[in-house]
This record gives sequence, C-alpha cells and structure tokens, in this order.
Amino acid sequence: MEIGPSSPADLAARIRARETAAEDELVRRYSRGVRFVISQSVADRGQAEDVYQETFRLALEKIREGEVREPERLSGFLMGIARTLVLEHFRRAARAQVREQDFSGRQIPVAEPSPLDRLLRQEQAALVHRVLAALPSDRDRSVLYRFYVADEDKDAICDNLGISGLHFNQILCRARERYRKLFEQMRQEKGK
Amino acid sequence: MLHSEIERDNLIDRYVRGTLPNPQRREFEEHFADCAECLEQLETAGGLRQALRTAAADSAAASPATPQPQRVTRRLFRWKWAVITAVSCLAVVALTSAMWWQRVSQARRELAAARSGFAQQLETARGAFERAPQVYSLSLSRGASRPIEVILPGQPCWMVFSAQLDTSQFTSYRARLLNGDSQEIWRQESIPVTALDTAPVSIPSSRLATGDDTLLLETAGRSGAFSELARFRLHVVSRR
Repeated sequence: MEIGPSSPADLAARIRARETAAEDELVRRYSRGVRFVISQSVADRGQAEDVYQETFRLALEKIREGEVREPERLSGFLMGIARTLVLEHFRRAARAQVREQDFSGRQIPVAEPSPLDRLLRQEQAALVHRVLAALPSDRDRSVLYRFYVADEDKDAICDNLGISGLHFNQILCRARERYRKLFEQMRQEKGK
Repeated sequence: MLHSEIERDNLIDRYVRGTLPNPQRREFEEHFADCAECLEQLETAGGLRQALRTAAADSAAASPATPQPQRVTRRLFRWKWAVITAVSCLAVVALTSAMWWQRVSQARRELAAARSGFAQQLETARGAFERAPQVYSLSLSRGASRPIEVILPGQPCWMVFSAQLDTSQFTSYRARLLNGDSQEIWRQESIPVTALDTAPVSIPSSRLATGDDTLLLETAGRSGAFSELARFRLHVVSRR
C-alpha cells in the first residue's frame, strides 16, 4: 500500500524522532523551492550550493531540537532559514571585501563566470532570441524588454502602448510558454 | 494561498521581479516551497527574465558603430537668439508700432520652432521604447577608480545600469545623474529594491551626453535626509 506524503507537522515529528527516511523526505519535498529562493539572490552556483546545503543542515538541526514553533508551517520555517542565510552570505562577502582591499584603492576584480555558466548563458540567450522572433509584433517584444529588463511598471507599459492588462498578460504568458517548451527541448536533446 | 489568487494578483511575475511587499512575499514563498506547479512557472519566468537581460547585455556589447545624430535644435535656438538681439536693437530706434510688430512676429517663430523641437523629442522617445536596452554592470569600490566607459547608441534606447551592492538594509533608493559641472541633469525617486545584491537604474539614452557624468545612488534615513549609497563615474562616449 502506497503511503502519501506526511503533513508538515507529522514530518517534523518524525524528524524529531530521528527517523532518517523523514529527513530524506524533507529534502526531497523542499529542495526545489529552497534552491529557487536562493538562486534569486545568489548568482554564483558554487556559493548558492553552499547556502543550500547550510539551509538544510541548520533546518534539520533546529527541527531535531524542537525549535519549530509552528510545525504546520514547516515550509515557511525552511524558507525563512534560506532567506536569513542568503543575507548572511552577502554580509560576509561585503566584510571580506573591505578587509582584503589594499590601500592603493584598486578595484577588486569580480569573479568571472565559469565556462559552464557562460555556456548556459549563451544557450539561454539563443533561446530567448527564438522566443522574441516568434512574437507577432515589435510592440510585444517591447513589452518583454520593458517589463523584464527595464523593470517598468505593468500599468505604465499598458498606458504607454495602449494595450489592456489582459493583452499584457497574454503576451507574457505566450512568451513564457514558448520559452519553457524550448528550454525543455534543449534539456532533452542534451540528455540524449 | 489559492492558485486563483496567485494568478489574479500576478504573483509569479511580481516575485521574479522582486516587487512583492515583504509580508506577501513570505506568504507566497511558504506556498510555493513544495508546490510543483508554481515552481514550474517561477523557474520559467525567472529563466526568461535572466535570458532577456543576458541577450540585452550581449546586444549592447555587439552593437555596430553609428554616427551620433546632430543636435539641430540647440544650434537653431542659438541662431535664433542672435536674431532676437539684432531685431531688438533695431526696434529701440524704430517707431513704437514697428517695434511691437517685430516682437509679435518673433514670438510666433519661437513657438513654431519649439513645437518642432518637442515633436522631434517625442518621436525620439517613442523610438527608444521599442529598441533593446543597453545594460552596464557597475561594481562598488572604495577610493579612486577608473570611470566606466559608456557608449552612446546611434539611436535612442534605454540604458540600464545594474549596480552590485548589498540592498538588504533598505527598501527603496533614488538615483541622480550629475554632469561634469556637478549639476543634476536627471533623477528618479523611490526606486523599489528588486534583489538583495543589485540596484538597477534605467536612464533614457537621450539624457546622457558625451563627457564625464556621475551616477549617485542614495537612500533616505528615518529623518528623511538622504545619504549616499554608491557613486559611479561614467565616461560617456559616442562610437566613431
């Protein structure tokens, strides 16, 4: 008989009881969400992985010690730890940069992206060119650039271009869906 | 949190752009922590946004050289001021009715020139919205540093300056652009923080002129007084 996933409170209780399977379940269940939250702020893959590992290490330690006040909100607890560790990561990096800077005031070189990261960026840029080429008009392309690159407000873009909010959502939805399909296709081709 | 609410309030895109208020952002994170459907959409939206920014930066680096358009309007007004001075001198020694007639004619010509200039600027601004922006990454450093070379595009477009700094201590900031004489030539107030490590600033390329400019990022304290977060020296050039 297949057993469904535990409720968050049950999962926390099983982890407190030192059940290894429960700890594995915690990681499986929240791994993707935690990685996404961290990736929104930490661009470097290696550093993001460090924060990810530390998040689950700290979370398991606190759950085992019974420090989760609201076990039903286990996901919020986990995401809160991830956010705190991301902030701490940046504070440490800023302090390290101040300590290491020499007195001549030379700019500390920023770490270059790895070859893998550069390749991934090139592939993503190629995908986005195909997405843009598939859009029916320059106005639709302008919507994407202004919203995602220039970070303009949705209402301002709609007012300026004379389009409705619904049309705006449709443009974004169409572009995202096309990008998702192209990205999936690329991953499948790489997997062969 | 219901998916209908997420779709209605456009939470996916607002989260990816970092424009959700903190309480709503925490609530949404708690929901999507183990929601495959929302994560799928978030990863797609985030990937598309990142890829667009990469493509924009690559386009900026590879854009071909085009000549800088002539600033006809400024020269036209200089010529006009020369004519006004000459006409005024003649009007002083002429009869009262002739002087009045000359002033009315001059005002009409200035109005026509201003309308033409504004129409040209409006068309330029429209064109800027439809072209890919140029993106520059700015790093914070102490002490003297080389100014960042900014290449003006041949045609108007948005210039996006992405400053790398710790934004965890404030929720919004303002940006000011100063020319070589330390005069303010552009500002944008209340820019919301969109990420923990970058502070982007979008400036229309028409606001930049060749020479040395300074981009200032400031944040308001509890008393309302602004303090400087970062200062970047820009050396603006046109492509030859």
